[in-house]
Amino acid sequence: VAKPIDLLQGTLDMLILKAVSLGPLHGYGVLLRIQQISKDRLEIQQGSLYPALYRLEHQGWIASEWGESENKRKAKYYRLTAAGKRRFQAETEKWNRMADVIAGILSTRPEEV
Amino acid sequence: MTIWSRLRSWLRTILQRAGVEGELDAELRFHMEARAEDLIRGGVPCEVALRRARLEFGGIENAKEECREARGVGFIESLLQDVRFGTRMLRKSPGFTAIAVLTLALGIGASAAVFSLVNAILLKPLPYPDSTRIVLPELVSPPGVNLGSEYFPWGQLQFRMLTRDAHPFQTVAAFQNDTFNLTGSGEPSSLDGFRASQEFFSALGVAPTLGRAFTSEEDQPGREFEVILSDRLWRERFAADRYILGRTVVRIPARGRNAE
Repeated sequence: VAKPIDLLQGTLDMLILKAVSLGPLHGYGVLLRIQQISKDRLEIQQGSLYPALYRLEHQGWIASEWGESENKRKAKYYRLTAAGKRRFQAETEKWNRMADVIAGILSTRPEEV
Repeated sequence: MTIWSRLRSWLRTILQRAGVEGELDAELRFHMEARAEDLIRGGVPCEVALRRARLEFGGIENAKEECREARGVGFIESLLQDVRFGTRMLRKSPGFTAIAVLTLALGIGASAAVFSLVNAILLKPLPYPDSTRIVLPELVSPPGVNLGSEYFPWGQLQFRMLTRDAHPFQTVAAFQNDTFNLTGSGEPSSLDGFRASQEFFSALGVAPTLGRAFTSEEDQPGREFEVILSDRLWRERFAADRYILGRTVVRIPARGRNAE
């Protein structure tokens, strides 16, 4: 099994937005969902997850609400807000443009310069 | 970035600090327990599962601190810390503290004094009904003519002319600063006062508390010996004597004046 790679700086916020855009989740659920989508190829520091959630909530991209978990316990659920949805789309676009540019640069061959 | 969500989150944090802290604890506890259950399901013994979950999570206190900062409370906490630190430092160097406090006290005192003066002179209306309609007209030199001064005192003649001719004022009154000698009633003293025409009180829209204002007979040459005492003088020198009306209270060399 390949060793999971660490997250790039600033990408955790985007992944959290993506995770909660698929449906409301509690903090632990966000962690599981990102791991599940990434097929365990990403290593997420659990300790950095909650500050990120709080930051996103403070900025208004996500909203929280106490609800009941699968095993009948009280848990805080996060969902994407309308502003968060717009933000997520903008971030996705930016990321794709950036990835294109970087990939283009890295794949340049000597004869193309 | 919505300002409202930030404000809401700040307010919530400030007003319900204990509640927010409790929520943070509960949220992290839920995370640990859920993780521990998953570990148990994966074959980790019950006894060590929770501890393992904690270890995986990393520094909990650190994460909590970062959460608080993310909510925007960091600045309140650090403000409180600064205040505490400042107090400690001030207590450590009393000489500096004394000078700083003295400087502040003098500065604030001077500002307050200037303000109360400006407030009394410029901002607060005069203590008379309809005080905005009380004006002090001034005699000015005609435009283009240099008479050595721009403003001139009113003379008796101008005043007579003003009251005789049609004028835009409801009431016109004249007054002039003067000093008077008070004798025959305790220690002799020099008092600041006004010589005022008959209409002085009606122009201000007030009446004496005791007695009456000047009459037209008293507004003639030779009748300038009737006085009206200020409230302060009446209380300080005459013990607020209600039977003072008509008494001779002031003597200016050889001539009496009656209190009115």
